[in-house]
Amino acid sequence: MPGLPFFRRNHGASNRDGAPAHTNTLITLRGVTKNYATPAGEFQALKGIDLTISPGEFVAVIGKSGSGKSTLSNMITGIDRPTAGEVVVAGTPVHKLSEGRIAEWRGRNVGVVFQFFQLLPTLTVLENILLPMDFCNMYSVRERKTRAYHLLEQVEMAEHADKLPTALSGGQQQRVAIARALANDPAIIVADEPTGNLDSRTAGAVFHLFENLVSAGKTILMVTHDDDMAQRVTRTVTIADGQIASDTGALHIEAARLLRDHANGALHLPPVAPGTLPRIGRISEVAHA
Amino acid sequence: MHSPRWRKVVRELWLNRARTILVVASIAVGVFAVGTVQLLRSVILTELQAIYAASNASQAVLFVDGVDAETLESVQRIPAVADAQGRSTLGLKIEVRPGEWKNLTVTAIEDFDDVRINRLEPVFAAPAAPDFGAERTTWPQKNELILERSALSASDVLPAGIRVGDSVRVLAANDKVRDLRITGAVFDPNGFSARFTGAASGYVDYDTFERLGGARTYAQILLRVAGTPEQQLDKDYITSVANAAADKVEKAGFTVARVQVPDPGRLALQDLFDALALLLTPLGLLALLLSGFLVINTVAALMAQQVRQIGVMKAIGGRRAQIIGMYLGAVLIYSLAALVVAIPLTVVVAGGLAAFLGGFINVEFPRWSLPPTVVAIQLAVGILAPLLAAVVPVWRGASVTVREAVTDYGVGAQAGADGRLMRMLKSVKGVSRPMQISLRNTFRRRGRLALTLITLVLGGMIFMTVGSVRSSLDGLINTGLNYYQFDVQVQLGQAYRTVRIDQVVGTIPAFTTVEGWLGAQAVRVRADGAKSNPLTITALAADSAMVSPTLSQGRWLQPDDQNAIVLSQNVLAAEPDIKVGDVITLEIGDKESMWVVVGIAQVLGGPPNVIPVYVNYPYFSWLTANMNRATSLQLKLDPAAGLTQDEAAELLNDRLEAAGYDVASVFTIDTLRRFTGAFFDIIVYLLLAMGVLIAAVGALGLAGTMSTNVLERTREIGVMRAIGASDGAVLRIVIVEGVLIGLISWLLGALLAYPAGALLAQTVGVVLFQQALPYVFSAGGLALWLAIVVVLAMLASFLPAWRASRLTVREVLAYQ
Repeated sequence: MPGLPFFRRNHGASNRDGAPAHTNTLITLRGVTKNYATPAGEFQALKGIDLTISPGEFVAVIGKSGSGKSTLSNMITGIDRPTAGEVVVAGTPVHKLSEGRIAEWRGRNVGVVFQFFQLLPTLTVLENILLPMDFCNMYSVRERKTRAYHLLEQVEMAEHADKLPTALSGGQQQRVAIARALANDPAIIVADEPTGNLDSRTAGAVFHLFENLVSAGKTILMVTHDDDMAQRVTRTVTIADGQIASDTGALHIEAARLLRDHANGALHLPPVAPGTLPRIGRISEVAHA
Repeated sequence: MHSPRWRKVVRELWLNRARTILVVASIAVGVFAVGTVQLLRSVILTELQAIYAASNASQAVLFVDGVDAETLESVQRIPAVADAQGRSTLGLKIEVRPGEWKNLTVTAIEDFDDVRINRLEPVFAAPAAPDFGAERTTWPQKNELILERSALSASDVLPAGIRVGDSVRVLAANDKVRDLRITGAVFDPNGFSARFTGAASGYVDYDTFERLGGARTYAQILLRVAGTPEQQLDKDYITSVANAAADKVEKAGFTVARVQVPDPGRLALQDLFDALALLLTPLGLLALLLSGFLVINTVAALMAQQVRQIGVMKAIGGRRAQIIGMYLGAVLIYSLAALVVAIPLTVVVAGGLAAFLGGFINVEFPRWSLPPTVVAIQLAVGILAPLLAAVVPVWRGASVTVREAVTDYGVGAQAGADGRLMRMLKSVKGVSRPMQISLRNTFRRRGRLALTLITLVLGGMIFMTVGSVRSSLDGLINTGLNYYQFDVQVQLGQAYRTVRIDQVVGTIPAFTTVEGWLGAQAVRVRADGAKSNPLTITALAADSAMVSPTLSQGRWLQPDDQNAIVLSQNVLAAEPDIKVGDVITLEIGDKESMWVVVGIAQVLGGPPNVIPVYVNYPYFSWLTANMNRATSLQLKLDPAAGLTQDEAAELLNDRLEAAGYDVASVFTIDTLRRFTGAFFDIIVYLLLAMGVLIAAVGALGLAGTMSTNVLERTREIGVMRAIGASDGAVLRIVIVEGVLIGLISWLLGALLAYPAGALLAQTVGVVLFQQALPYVFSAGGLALWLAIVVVLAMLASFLPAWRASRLTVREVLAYQ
């Protein structure tokens, strides 16, 4: 996937609605709580989540079923709203947007990929990719088609452009869904179990596609069950019982602080034998413990 | 349609052809019903008004005894009279088969090229009788007869296969048989159709009229009044001019039997058309309302099916307004397709109905007519009504959040809430498991069930209501006709002694009873001195065996009554101030007398424009010095005698004439039944057509609901099949659900039909007869709708059920 000419590189936190970028974080969740009313009483899906994600990160959100990971991703895409707390994405306070504005904002700024692909069955592959551009009135009509073809080429699905989704395999449908998520060239891709319905070989190919996107400057947040996949991303956030149980990104930040302190002479690390330095993840677990 | 979202809309309409056809049909039915009613009203009223205006219809008619040309000229010279023309009419017989004679009314016209009032229009094409040769129509000369065209389409009133140029045998008033050559056909908009009267009519010149036993004088003077446009519509003014003309005629020494002034500006049979409009307009609107419910139901189901796609579209940037636009756009396409179907269908059906009605009333309505107002109404209704109906379901569907949309899947997601109803249904014992599934499924989607029920309940209610109105009309006809307990009535030209008539009647043993009555014309003199239209007095014995009156108010005559009078309800229409117990003044001949109104009777039939009133024979015969005399005979026929009423009447006519009696007319109750039946058939046929239409709407609604229910439960059906449900079991579960919905709708519809029928029967009765119809709730209609609704429910659910039973488990479980 050389160059991905149709993708815009992220330059910090800017958004397509013209809101000013004022920090180096793209996504910020502050004290996000989500409660659901159920017949059995109130259920707290998220309990005061604090999370920041920087441009260009490839973040995996893992956790058991019902842990709150999908709810977390829904907060970022604006698919769901927090009961309390703030969600700021690319400078936009998503939690404050009206239902009417949120769809258009999402269409322009966040590409969503679902576990079950969710291509519209009555539209061809090409039309499925044209649809977000049509809804958000992005690009000229002629540009849209050229762009859609290029996106399909990027995901190696150009020869299937005129087929209906039902004629494609699961892996092919997910590639198309990724191309659709990229249609309006959003800075952020949020994928909820994108490989959950695919065999391991196809899942690997889809994951590779995500890696390329990150290389091209996209920020990806991927909810997954797959530990192996989670190992290959730049950052892993583990959710348990609605809380962040671990965050390798937090360790990065902690490590950076430690290194800075060390450089300033404020911190004196004990000597460590070569080969005994634990992997970052493990240190994080130790640190959190 | 370049953008993918519109391609999605169009493609889905095409891919879901069955649903598209259902919605288009639902909308088309409503648009068609409203359009047909509008078109019928428009065509009929416009055409009738045009025809009557073109015919320069008389505003008043004086019925006189042989007025001469000089007197007619004196009437013409009255300044308030714009024009006056004279005619005469004879009731004769025409031979339709050797030795078989039928009534023929012959009117004498002085100059066919100068008919200025009640114009006659020669007919050069008679579609009902293509072999007649109407294209050769010419005005008749001596020994020639031109036929009124309605006779050509009435059954058995003319010799079979009659053609222009043929000779017919006519039994003249002087009992001579005359051969008359037929010169063609004419349209008389002011006459009554032969299909109503059961007799042919024709026109001759005065030379022929004389040969037929008529006199070279005028028996009717047709009047047009001069005056302002307001005066032309002022009945009192027209009556005053007509009375002035009558005075002039009487001063010249002639007798004016009666002055007839129809309601100005009102067309003949307008009451009938008013009643039809009254019935059809709300029925058309109801059909539209029902089609609106169908649209709501189908669009709501469509939106429910599209929840996930809506969620996805929102997830990729679709705004609610855009999504609403897409689905309303789909509804607009449905509407346009429905209009493409409904407008031509309206033209065809309304044209056919107009032709059918025209056949009854002898008017050829334009077969292919589409006034712009009707198109405008259909466009407005066809586009706006479905959009309005769809707004709420589309709004609600488009308001689903992405989260709700993408997490809504799996078996049981749409199960009804475990409320009181479900708990009740769970406690139903003693039915099979599949039956229990049907029962619970019926109540799962209560909103949809409610909308389906509204459609079916209203449809059933209207169907059953129509049945009840029909039964009530039948009831009224029977009550009205029940008044006439005699079989044959003979009107005599003057009063004859009853003893002598008895002798003649006695020669025909088939008659078991005879009664002689007196008749006369009278006018009511109102408190301000104004005079009413003529009333026809019938003086009979209070205990007459020849009548069985039904009274809506007060009582019938009693033997010791003197100046008691019973009015027919028609009197109240013309003289609404009269109440039972009032004393009214009648002018009989040139004498005024006071009468006490003791009752109001329901009477049906009899010649149009005759308003009957009833008085006691002894008092009236004394008052008019006609004791032991009769101007009419009422006779009962022995059913065992082997004579039809017509045959017996003809025999009696012959005997009376042979004995030298002046027989004015002979009439049988069979004829009256035919006449009345034809009149009500129009209403009944139209009501029936509407009932069928409404039933069709109900069936469409149920079919839509059942296919949506099945589609929604495809996954569930797959699971049932996976655990062993046979094709038959799946089929039964779905069909039983449909039939259950049908039965519930029938029950609710029947409950509503009773008061609705009473209301409609009252309204129709008031318009047509100035009184509520005696309400008869139609049990037959109830049973018929039950049968129809069960069959419709089975048919409507069979196709979705069959489709469900065809699905393989693999297909079903893969269904998203």
